[in-house]
Amino acid sequence: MEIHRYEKIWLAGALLLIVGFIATVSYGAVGAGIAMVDDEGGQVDPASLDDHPKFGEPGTYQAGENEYDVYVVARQFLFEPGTSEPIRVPAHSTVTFHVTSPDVIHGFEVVGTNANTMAIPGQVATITVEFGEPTEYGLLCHEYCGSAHHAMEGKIEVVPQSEWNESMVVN
Amino acid sequence: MRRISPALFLVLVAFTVPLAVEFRTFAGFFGIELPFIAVIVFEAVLLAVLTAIYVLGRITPDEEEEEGAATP
Amino acid sequence: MATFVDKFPDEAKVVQASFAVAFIALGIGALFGLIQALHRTNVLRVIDSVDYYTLLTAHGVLLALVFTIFFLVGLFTWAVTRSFGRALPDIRLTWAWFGLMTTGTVLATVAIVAGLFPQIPMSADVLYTFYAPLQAHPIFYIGLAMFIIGTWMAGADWFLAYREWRGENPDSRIPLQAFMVLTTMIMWYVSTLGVAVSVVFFLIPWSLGLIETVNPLLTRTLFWYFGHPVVYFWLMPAYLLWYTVLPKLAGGRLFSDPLARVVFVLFVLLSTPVGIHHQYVDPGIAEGFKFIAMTNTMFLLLPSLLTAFTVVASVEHGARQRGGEGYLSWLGALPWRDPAFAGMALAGLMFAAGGFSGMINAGMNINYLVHNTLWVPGHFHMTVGTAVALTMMAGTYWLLPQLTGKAVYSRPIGLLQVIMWFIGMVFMSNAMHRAGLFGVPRRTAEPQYQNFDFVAAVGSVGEIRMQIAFGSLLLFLSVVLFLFNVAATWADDRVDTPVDDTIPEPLSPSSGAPLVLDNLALWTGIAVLLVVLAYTLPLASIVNDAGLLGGSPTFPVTVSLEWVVDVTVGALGNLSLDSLAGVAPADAVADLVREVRR
Repeated sequence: MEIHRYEKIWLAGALLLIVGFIATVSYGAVGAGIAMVDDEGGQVDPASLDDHPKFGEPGTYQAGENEYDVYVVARQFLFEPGTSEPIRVPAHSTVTFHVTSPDVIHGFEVVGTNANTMAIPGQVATITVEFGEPTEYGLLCHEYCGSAHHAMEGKIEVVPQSEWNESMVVN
Repeated sequence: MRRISPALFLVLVAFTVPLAVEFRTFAGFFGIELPFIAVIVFEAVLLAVLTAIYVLGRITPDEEEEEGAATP
Repeated sequence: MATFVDKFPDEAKVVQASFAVAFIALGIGALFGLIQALHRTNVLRVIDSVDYYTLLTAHGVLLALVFTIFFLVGLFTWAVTRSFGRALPDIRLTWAWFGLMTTGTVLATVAIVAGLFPQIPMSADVLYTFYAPLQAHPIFYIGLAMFIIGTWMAGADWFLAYREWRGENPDSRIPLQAFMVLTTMIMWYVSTLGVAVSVVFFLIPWSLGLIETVNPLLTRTLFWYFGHPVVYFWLMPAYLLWYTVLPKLAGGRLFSDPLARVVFVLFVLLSTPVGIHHQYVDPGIAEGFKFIAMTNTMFLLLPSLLTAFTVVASVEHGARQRGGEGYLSWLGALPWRDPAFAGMALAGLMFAAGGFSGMINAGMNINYLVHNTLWVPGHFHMTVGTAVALTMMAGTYWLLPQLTGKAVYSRPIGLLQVIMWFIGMVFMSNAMHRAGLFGVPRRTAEPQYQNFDFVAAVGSVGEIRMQIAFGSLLLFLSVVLFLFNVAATWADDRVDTPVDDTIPEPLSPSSGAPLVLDNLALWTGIAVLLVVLAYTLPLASIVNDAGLLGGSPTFPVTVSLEWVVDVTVGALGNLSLDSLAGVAPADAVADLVREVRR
C-alpha cells in the first residue's frame, strides 16, 4: 500500500500523541496517586440498608488519627446525611466517602471539585479525598433519579479543628 | 485587495464568533480580567476589519483575481 | 442526465421516506431542545420542571436515535445501491425494515410523550439511557427493541445486496461506499448485542412484571457496551460523506482509498471494547478494566486523526484544482457558496474541537472533574450535534436533488442555515463546557440550588446562561430554515439536471489497498475477540457480585406524597419547600399531587 510521506509523518505524530495521553493518565494514576473508583467498596443489599452496621446509621465515623469514613445514603431525593443536616468533617483531614443507594442510580458530586462518583444500588462507591481549610461545599446529585432530581442537594461543612467534637462522629 | 465572495465573507464572520467568545478566557490565562463589553467591542472590531476587506475587495479587485481567471 | 431517482425509483422512495421520518424527528427534537435550554437557563419557562425530563427523554431519543439512524439507513441504502450500481435484492424486505423501525419509533415516542398528559397512565421519563431501576412503560422498551431489530434487517438487506453483487463480480474490490456501509454494520451487529440482551432479557420482562428485580450495574454496563459504539454509528454516515462526497464538492477527489478502508476497519475493531470509559466513576468495576477501556479509547483517536489528514488533504487538492494557491490562501478558493460544502467543512472543523474535549473525557483521572457535568452535553453537541447533524443537513442539500429529481429550493437559505448552526453551537457548546468545569450538572431542570452557588472562573454564571439560551435559539431557527428549505424542495417541480451527482475516483485508487482489508470475516472475528477480552471479566464480576437479576425492584420516577412531606418537614432547617420543584411552592405541591394521582 502506498502511503504518502506526509501521511507517514502525520501517523507518527498521531501515535505519539496517543501514547503521550496514555502516559500522562498513567502518571496521574501511579505518580500523582489519583485512584479510580473501583470494586473495593463491595456490595450491599439495597433493600435492607437499615440493617447495615454503617449505612443503617449513616454519618461520619472516625477511622484513625485524622482519618474519617463518611457513610452516605443517596436516595430519591436527598442525601443522608447531607440534605437535612450537613455532612461534617474536620479541616485538614483525610476522608473516605462510602456512597450507596437503596433505590435508583444517583450521583454524588462535591461542587467545584473533582470529588465525583456514582451511587448504584447494590454497590458501594468509595472515594478518598483530602480536605483543607475550613469552608463549605455544595453537594449535588448529578444523575437523573426522578421527577424531583433537581431538588436533590446538600452541604458539606469542613469544621475547624478547634470546633470539632465528639458529637460530630457517629462512633 | 483580494476579492472575496459574499459566502466566504459570511463564513469568516462565523469564525469571528469563537474568537471573540474565547478572547476573554485567553486574557484570563494571563490574569487579565476583561469586562463583558470588551467581548462585544472585540467582535465589533473583527467585523469592521472583515467588512473593510470585503468592501475594498469589491472596489479595487486585483487584476489576476478576476472570477474564473485562475481556473485551469 | 439520469440521476439516482431515474435509475432506482423504488430505492429512492425508501430513502426519501427514511429522510422524511428523520426530519420530522429533527423538528420535534429541536423544539424540545429549545424549550429545555430556555427553561434551565431561566429565560422562559413554559413547562413544569417535572415535565422537563419528559422533554429531555424525547429530545435524546428523537435526535440521537431517530434522526441520526433514520438518516443513516436512508444514506446507506443510497450508498449501497449507488456503489453496487444495482437495485436492492427485494424491495419488500427494504420496506419491511423501514416499517418495523417506524413502528418502533412511534411506539417509543408515544410512551414518552404520554408522560406530558397526567390522564394517560403511561410514561417513559427515563431519558435516553433508561438506567434501571427507573422504569418506563413496557411499550417504550418494546418500541426500542423493534427499532433495533429493524436496523438489523436493514443490515441484512445490504449484505444480501453485497452477496448478489459478489456473485457477479468475484474478483472486484468492494466499492468504497459499500465497504463503509458493510464495516459499519458489522460494528453495529457486535455492539447492539449488549443493548438487545439488556432490553429483551431484562428490561421488557421486568417492566411487564415477569421478573421482580434487575441488577442495575449489569443493565447499565450492557447499555454502555452499546452506548459508545452507537456514537460511531452516528459518526460513520458523516465520515462516509466526508470521504466520498466532500472532496468532490471541494472540486477534487479523495486523497487515498486504502487509508479510508484502514480507518473503517479500525472502527470495527475498537468501537466496542471501550464502553467502560462511560463508567470511570462507577463502583463495582475494577480499576484495571477501566484502564483497558482508557487505552483502547485513546487508540480509537487514531482513525479520527487519520481522517482529519485525509479529508483536509482531499479538500486542499480540490481547492488547488480550482486555482487555489499558497499555504493557506487556497482556503479562499473553496466553494463556500455551496451549502453542502460549507456545512460539511464547518461540521468537520467543529468535530476537531469536539474531539479535543473528548480526549479530556477519555483521560480517566481528569474525568472526575467533568463526569456528568454540563461539560458532557457540551462535548456531544459538538460531535453528534454538529459533526454528525450538520453534516447530515449539509449532505441533504446534495442528496435530496438526486433522490427527488428536484433542485434545492434556495441555496442562500441553505448557506445561512448551516452558518447559523455553527454560530449557535459555538455559543451553546462553549458555554456548556465552561459551566461543566465549575460543576453545573447535566440532565437537570433547575440549576439553581439552595445550599451553594456556582462560581465561574472567567465571566459570570449569568453570562454563561445567556450564551446557552442565545445559542439554542440560533440552533432552533437554523432547523426551522432547514426544514422549510427541504419542504420547499420537495414541493418543487422536477428539473432535468438537479445536481452534479458524479463522484470521481480517488487519487490513490482501491487497487493499492491490500486485499486483506476487504476480508470482512477476519475483521469481524478480531472485533469479537477484542470484545470478549474487554468484557468477559467485568461482566462476570458484576453478575458474580449481585446476581444476574440483582436485587432492585421497580422504582417509579415519582415518590409518594406522604413521604415527600415527611422529608420536607425533616429538612426544613436548610431546605425550603420550593426547592423541591424549583417553582413557586404552590406549583410544587400541585405538581406532586398530580404526580401521585398518576
